Amino acid sequence: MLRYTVVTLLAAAAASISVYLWVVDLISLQRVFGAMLGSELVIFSMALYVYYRPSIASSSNRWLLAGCVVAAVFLLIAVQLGSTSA
Amino acid sequence: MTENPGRKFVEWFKDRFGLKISVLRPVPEYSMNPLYWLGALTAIAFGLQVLTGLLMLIYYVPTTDQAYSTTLFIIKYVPLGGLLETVHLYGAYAMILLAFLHLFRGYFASVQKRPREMMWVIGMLMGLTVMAFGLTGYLLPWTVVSKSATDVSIGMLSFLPAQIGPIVTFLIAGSGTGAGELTRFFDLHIVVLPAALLSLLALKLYMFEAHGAAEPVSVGAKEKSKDVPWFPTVYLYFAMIGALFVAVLFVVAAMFPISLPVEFTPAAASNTVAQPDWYFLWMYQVLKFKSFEGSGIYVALGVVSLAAIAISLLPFIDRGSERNPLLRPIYTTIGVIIVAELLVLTVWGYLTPGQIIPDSEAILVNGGVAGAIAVVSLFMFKLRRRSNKEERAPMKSRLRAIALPFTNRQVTAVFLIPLVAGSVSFANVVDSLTSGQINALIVLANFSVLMVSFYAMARMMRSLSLTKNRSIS
Repeated sequence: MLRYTVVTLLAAAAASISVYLWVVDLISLQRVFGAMLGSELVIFSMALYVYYRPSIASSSNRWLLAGCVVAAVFLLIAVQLGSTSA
Repeated sequence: MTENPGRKFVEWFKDRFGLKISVLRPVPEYSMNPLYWLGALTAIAFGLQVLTGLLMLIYYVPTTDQAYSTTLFIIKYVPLGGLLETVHLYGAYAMILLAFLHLFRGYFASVQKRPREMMWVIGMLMGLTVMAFGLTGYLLPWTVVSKSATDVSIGMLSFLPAQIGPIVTFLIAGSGTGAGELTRFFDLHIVVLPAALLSLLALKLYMFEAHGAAEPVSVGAKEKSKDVPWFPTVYLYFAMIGALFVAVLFVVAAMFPISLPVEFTPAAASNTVAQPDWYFLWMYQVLKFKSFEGSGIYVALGVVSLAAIAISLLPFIDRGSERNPLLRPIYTTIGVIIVAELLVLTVWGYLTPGQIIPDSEAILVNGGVAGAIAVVSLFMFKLRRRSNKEERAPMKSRLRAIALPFTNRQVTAVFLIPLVAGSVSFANVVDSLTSGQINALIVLANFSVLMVSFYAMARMMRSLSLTKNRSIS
């Protein structure tokens, strides 16, 4: 279940970045784009982690949770940068 | 049984290229640790530099009248140009930092021992190439800061022997004009150095495939570890840490975008203090010592060059078989001193731009750092040797001993008194010696307090270590 959740998150992040890239002005909001890309890359690495260590042991889950928190923080940074640029 | 498609491709590759070594063979499980992948992360940073650099080449023009304006154009008007430029800058910083971490991790883990001596030498050459990348790339935006600092570096070439100095200067910096200098540095940055680094990287990877990763220093770790296949395990791990590294780089670049200093003009340069980028600050600080002014620069450059040569030839100097840093007191202490001195000189260089450092201050700070580390190291290795003679307590008891300063609060409280007194007297000694008006009585009094404090602290540490031994037994 966890595996599919992370892969779904990855797909959602990739899709949102694509939409964002399509609609925003990349000259003025490139910092937002950088932070969003960073967030997506963390989610991507978490998806790889699920395949690298497919066990459901608590230590694996802890790392996965930490990765998701980092991705969320990066996304918050993107939102913050977006709100200050606007 | 179906064959792994990845392995099948590797076998095809080996066969067609006539390689005698096993490519991408299974690796020991202990190497699934980020510390073993610092070199690979440096290579990822290099790949990112190539990619971002090629994209910037679309707009960048390496002439003295357009270098600055095209760099500014990339940052301000090219879509994602600011991010691209910032990622290129921070990617370079990360590459240099990772190269240093890779070097010192290798030093303390003694990876240079047989049969990896030449891997170490090639790695040092790669390190020098990475530093050269930093030096040449720094000039390219043609800002007043970068041009002034580069001129200082080029000026150092004039101290080379007369037989080779002019030739080397001409090859690196041209005939002395700004245009020649920029063109030479650009060519070095995008053609010569990448070719050199790629060749060295290929050579090192070949040797790595032949010798594998150095085994961990802990006894029995190699025997306990089983091998894991490259596909998919190592591949997934590599992609995972690579993605995390690039993610952090992008977010840092987004948070702290590059701001370009003003363009180089002779007038602007006259009002600017030449200061190199952070990775050369340690050397910059050494060159600012009073003794190394004028012809003294030969001594400074000679000492730095000798140190670099000694580290490069370390596998042929340190020929013992022991690899555990805890059992190699001299090399471990030297390594810690080198790291500490590099950090101190870098921070000090950053805080004192353009200031000439009096010799007394230089000796006090650098000698103090080296001396303090040597004394602490001597004390720790002595303690360890003593405790080794006795029966080692279980790990849990030894970990409990770390809490001794908190459980023996009276000793800790009393320990703080000589610590504060010693620190104040040390500061007074430094202040007196560097103020220019040296009062022998004050220096002597403070030095005495410093020595007494040091003795008191050593006694208390001994008492604490005896308490620790009692608590363990």
